[in-house]
Amino acid sequence: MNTPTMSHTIKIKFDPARPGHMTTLVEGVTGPACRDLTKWLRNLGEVVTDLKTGDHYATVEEEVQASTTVQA
Amino acid sequence: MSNYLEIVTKLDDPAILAQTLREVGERLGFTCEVGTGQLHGFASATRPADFIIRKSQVKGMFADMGWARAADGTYTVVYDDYGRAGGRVRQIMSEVAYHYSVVEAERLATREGYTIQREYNQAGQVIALGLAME
Repeated sequence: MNTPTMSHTIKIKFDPARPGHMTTLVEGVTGPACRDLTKWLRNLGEVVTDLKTGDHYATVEEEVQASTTVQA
Repeated sequence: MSNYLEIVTKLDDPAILAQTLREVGERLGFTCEVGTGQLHGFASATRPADFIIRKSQVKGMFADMGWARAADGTYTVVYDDYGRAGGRVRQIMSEVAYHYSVVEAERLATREGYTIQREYNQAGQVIALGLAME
C-alpha cells in the first residue's frame, strides 16, 4: 500500500471503442514523487505511453535554482 | 497533472478473468466453465483451455470459445471455427477485455487504499474511475 506524502487524485479512463486500453491522469502531485506514488498503475498492463508534464519538473527546477543561488 | 500514462491491459490474472467472465456472462446470458478442460472447435478438433464458454450457451456461436494460458502467462482467446468468428464472438472478446481492465483497476486501487468513484456512459458502461487519496 502507498504511504502518500500529499493528497492527490487519479483519473483512469476507459475507451469503449478500444477495449482493454486505458489512460491515467495524476493530479495534485508535483515533482518526481508522482512516479513513486503511482508505481502501481504500471501493473495494470503494458505501458505504451508515459508522459511527464510540467508539474513533474516544477520541484526539480526550483531545487536547481536554489542550489545555484547557494553556490553563487 | 504531473503524469499521463496509456496502458494496454494484459489478461494475466486468473481470478480477475474468472470474475470478469462471470459478470459479463450475467449480462450477456452465458456461463463459463472455469478450470482446464477440452474446447471443441471446427471438425470436432479439441484444444485445452482454462476458461470455456460452450457453443450451446451463445446463440450464433458455432464452436466453443475459451481462454488458454500462454507461455508468457497471459490468457489468449481460443476459438476455432474455420475463420467464421461472428459478431457475437467478437462482442464477447471485446466486452471481456474491456471489463477486465475495469475490474483490475478497481482491485489494485482498492488495495492501494484509494476511494473510488465510477463514471458511466448512457449504455451503463464504466468509462472512468476517479481515485482519491486524502
